[in-house]
Amino acid sequence: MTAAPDPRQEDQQLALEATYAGKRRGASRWAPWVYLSGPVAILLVFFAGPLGILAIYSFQERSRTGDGSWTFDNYVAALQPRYLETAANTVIIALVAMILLLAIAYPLAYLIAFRVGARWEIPLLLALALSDELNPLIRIYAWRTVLGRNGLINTVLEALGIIQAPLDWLIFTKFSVIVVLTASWLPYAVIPLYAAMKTIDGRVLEAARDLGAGWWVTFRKVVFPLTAAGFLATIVIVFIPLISDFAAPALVGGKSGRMLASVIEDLFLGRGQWGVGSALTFVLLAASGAVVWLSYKIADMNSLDTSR
Amino acid sequence: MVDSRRSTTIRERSARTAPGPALTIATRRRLTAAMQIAFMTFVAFVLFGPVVILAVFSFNDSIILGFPFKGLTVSWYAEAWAEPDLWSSLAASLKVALVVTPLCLLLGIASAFALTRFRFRFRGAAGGFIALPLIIPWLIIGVGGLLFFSSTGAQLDLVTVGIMHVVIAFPLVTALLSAQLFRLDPHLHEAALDLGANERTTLRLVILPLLLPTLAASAIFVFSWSFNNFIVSFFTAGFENTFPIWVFSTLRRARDLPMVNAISTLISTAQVAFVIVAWQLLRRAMERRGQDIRDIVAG
Repeated sequence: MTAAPDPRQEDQQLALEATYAGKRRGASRWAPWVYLSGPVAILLVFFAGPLGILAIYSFQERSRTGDGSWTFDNYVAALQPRYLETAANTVIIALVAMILLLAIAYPLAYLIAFRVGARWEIPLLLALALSDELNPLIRIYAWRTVLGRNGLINTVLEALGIIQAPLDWLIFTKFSVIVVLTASWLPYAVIPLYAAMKTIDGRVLEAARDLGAGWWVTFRKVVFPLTAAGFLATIVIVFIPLISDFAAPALVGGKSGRMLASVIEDLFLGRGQWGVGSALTFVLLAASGAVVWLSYKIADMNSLDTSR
Repeated sequence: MVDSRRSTTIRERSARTAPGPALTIATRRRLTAAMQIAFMTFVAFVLFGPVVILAVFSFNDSIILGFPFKGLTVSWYAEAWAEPDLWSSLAASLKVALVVTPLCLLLGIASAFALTRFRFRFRGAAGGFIALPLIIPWLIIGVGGLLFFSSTGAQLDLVTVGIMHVVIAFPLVTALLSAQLFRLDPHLHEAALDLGANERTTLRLVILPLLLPTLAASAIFVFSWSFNNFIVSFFTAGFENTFPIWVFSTLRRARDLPMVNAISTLISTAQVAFVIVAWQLLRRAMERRGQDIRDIVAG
């Protein structure tokens, strides 16, 4: 259990400041850049470079060769109805999956941090990490054994006589994409929430209970405000991969579970329309950026205010 | 009324004085425990159930993935064993991951050390820039890589895959190491400087040994990110096959599905074994140092 503001830690922080401030032997003004030059150079060339070229392509007319004139046509093409439909689909799937993720991950993180005890805490975290080490494509594909026509759910329901024919909405639909995405990204939602919970002093929770707070009041007035920052971080961490996921819709999505990533892949590798593909990529980036920004705004207005 | 098996906590004492019959409290506690166990079981199933069922079906003597179970066979394993593309793709993924991991550790150490141990202009900007690949979707990084390499005339192969893996993975090392470096007692650093060590010697002899467990954890993460990465490799591999690309293309051919079940089971088993052994070693190393493995996660 982490203790509240540790005087030793504060002392360390001051010492650290002193180390920074004092002129140190052998530490020149350029010393940090000696260490940073490699990492920053690599990112400038192979990260900023590709994003820059992507931006250029999205505004070029004959983009395959990259010598066309400047134009907005690619963005106009990217915003045509059939792509917008897929975009709406993508946002719906990502939002529902994110809500499900938070609904499962939040109580799970709480249980791991406060309820299961020291004996189970580390094995459970390990299990989460372990599930993420497995190949994601295999994890996605494996859901066909549960959701497929001859899968676990259909077989059990038929054996019990609840259904006569296999349910056909279980696989190759929005439903299956949402289920699979939720399962795939669960570790990434639990870990930051767990980290946020660990910063809560357990005595605060006991104090809340002693003062007569039920679980709902404890949650609303104590746990949630104290983990609001972690909650937001989690939204940012999971929403970005959710909205840009390619493998899940490709393997279990079918027609109704189509997402933007599949369209982008098709534009680049299938049809060779790099300009429109680049423009659509930036639309996707803008959409994920918008959600990130929105979640910060909402947080600013609500969650951190405990007085109500 | 008093349940003496458990140590009395403040909470229980207050519960006993609360109105309502004692039975209700005991029942409620049992109900809560049952619900917690049910929830945990559900989560365990969501995380591992499908892969376990897939492993069972890898021995099923049928081309259809599903019930009923038609009989035991290892023929899918034999078929997978004889598949040359599988082995070359596995070798390619291993090669890339083995080169990418040390590179990411080096870049991660250098950047985390600079960002946490010096104060300089543009420190915030540099940190933000290095963290950026972590919040840009991998799809976009992969597509950008494709455009970048093909417009510079570079050939798409395992080298370009490796470069892009470094770009997406080393910022993770920077983040994990920076969190740990902030916790580290700065007096150790100062003491080393006072005793005449320069920055580089301090890094090598004082800081790196203290960071060893975090470095090991980072190595595990980076290795699996690279080994498992599909989308970035998919766009930047050209005609080369990494293992995830092989899995993806094989999944599109229905008659090969049973073979994928077999190979999935083998690979998953190997990965589970590797991770468990690695974490056990890591935990022991951290216990010897009196550090808590949870700090890496919670940091």
